[in-house]
Amino acid sequence: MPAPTRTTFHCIDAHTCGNPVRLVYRGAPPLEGETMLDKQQHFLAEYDWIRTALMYEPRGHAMMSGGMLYPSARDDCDIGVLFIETSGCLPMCGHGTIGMVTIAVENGLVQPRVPGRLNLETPAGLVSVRYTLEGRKVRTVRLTNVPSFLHSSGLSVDMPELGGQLRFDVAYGGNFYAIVEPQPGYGDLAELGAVDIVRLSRLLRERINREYTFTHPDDDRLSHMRHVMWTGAPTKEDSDGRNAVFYGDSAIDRSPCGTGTSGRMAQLAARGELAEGDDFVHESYIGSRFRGRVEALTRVGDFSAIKPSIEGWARVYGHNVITVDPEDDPFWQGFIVT
Amino acid sequence: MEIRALDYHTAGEPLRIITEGLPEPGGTTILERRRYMQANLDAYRRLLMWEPRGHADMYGAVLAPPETPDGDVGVLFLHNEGYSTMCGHGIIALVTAGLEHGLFEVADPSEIRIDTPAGRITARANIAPDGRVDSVSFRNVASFVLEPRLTVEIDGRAIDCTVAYGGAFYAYVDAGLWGFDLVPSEAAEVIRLGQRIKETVSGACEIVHPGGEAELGFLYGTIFVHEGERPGHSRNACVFAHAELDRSPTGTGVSGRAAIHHARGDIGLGQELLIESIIGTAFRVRCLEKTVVGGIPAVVPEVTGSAWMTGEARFVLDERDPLKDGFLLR
Repeated sequence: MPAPTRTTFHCIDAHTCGNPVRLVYRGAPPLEGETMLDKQQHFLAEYDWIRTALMYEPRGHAMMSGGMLYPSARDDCDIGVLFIETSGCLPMCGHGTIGMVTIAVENGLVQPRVPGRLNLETPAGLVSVRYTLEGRKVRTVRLTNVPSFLHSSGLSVDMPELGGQLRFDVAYGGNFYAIVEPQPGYGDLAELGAVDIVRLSRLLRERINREYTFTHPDDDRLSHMRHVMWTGAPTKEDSDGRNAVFYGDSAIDRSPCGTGTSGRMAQLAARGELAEGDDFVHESYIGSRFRGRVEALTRVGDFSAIKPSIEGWARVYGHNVITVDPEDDPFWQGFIVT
Repeated sequence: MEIRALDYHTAGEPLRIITEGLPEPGGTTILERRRYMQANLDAYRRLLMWEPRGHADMYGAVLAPPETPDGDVGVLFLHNEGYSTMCGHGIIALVTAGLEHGLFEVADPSEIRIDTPAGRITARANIAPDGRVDSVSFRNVASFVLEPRLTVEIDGRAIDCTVAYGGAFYAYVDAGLWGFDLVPSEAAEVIRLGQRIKETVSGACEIVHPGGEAELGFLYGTIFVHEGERPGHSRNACVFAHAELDRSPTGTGVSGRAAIHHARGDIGLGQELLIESIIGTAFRVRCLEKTVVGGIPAVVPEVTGSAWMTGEARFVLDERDPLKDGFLLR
């Protein structure tokens, strides 16, 4: 259904450790359905133009993401969350959760039943978060992620661009990640520019997926490896590691990546380098940081697994009133250059 | 801190017009103000152009008092790397926004006089019956061919290019040399080669504006040209500043094209060229008259295109934010 006429969307823009989060607080469409997953289906069927208008150029850009808040029908949830981004709607998004919670609490868009805690209904289900305040602003948000595990280790594919065989592990942290650590041919993340990361990751992902498949023991629909993580030495003394995650067609996560950090912690825990209760401070490509923690040990199928939590921060940087005029602007639905 | 801006796009290319909250760049002439902003206010450019408030392909404009007695407004143009000398898509959005929001006083909408770093631009707003600005035509600065044929080596191949000026200097190359159709899926390779060509040509050719203004003498970008099957209808992809890829057909770029085709005898005065961008949007350009710049034959091009409003932003700065100054990843 096209927008009937000139429409404006009131948005508060924040970023979580560098990754944008655009919360639409006025102009979100009325959505039908009992659960947030139902509402997401309705949104995609009828209002996807709102997503592309607000995420794509010229109003957004290739890295834009965000969401909208809805009342939740669940008794155990404070609010419902719909995630939008350039590639579609995600059932769950870590940096999006941190950003939306920060914006919602700072602007009174949600009334927590218990101060410092929020239960969110996402399309993927219940997500519990804790946040800390600094005056009227949110300092940090911590969310508990799905059980994460090391799926395979010591795999390799041929990468002549890096001088031969490249070794990698594959871990799950909400998505499957091919994790590349420094080795002959790949000295450190510091050696790769943004253009190199995109070019090499595309090749590596394609070659890995040609040779290997990865399946989640609980759900064989979760069987795609679409994320590549390049790791390296941190740039700050009190960080434990650094990474750059590539996903989509050409995106590099500006944040340290919540699901990626979970997968990385699972890999390190499986090697005995992290124990229950340990913190892991993870830097992004641009130097921003998440503090991960191994909350508990568990199992997923036959795999030893961890229950990770991720703490990050978001900062508001702007208030946007976005105009979409289907009668006048040929790009009212936006466009993308990839 | 609070900075307000109006966001527009011209043929897909953004223009963020800063309306409030920025200290005025000091100076009498626009080039002085450009220097001042570069030296004293560059943090504002990074804040407003770079992530997270902008992105690698963001573009901006800062209004200033005109430097000439009969000027309506002066303007500085911002991009991800610095300050351009002239910007066609920017003029089109600026005039549209200026009239739609009363950003500056205009004596006559059919002759809006804008002082840019490259000199005087005269624009005409073509108003639709409902009062909206339908399109904008502007009379650009004198445009000319500096180097009709320069051979440089790119990735081990000898490549011919033409260096021309249309408010900024560009190296023009035939997209067919790399088999480009100039479509969005080629963006990454177009950017890579565009940067390489710009660096190589900058080193191989002395870029001097014959009018004598030293600050205009630099190569701004590379333009790939895909000549269509229909005469007078072609496609451009322009890589400028730090690997920015223009979503519009590039106003100064199509002006340089008009100068090249006029110099080659392909077009006469008044004959229009339709030039598309990498995303399929179009500008029209024609040569209004012949002139001479510092002894070099030149033309005065007129460019026409349309712009649309996309939003109104109020930017804030959280002092706790470690990324408050902005960052660029490309």
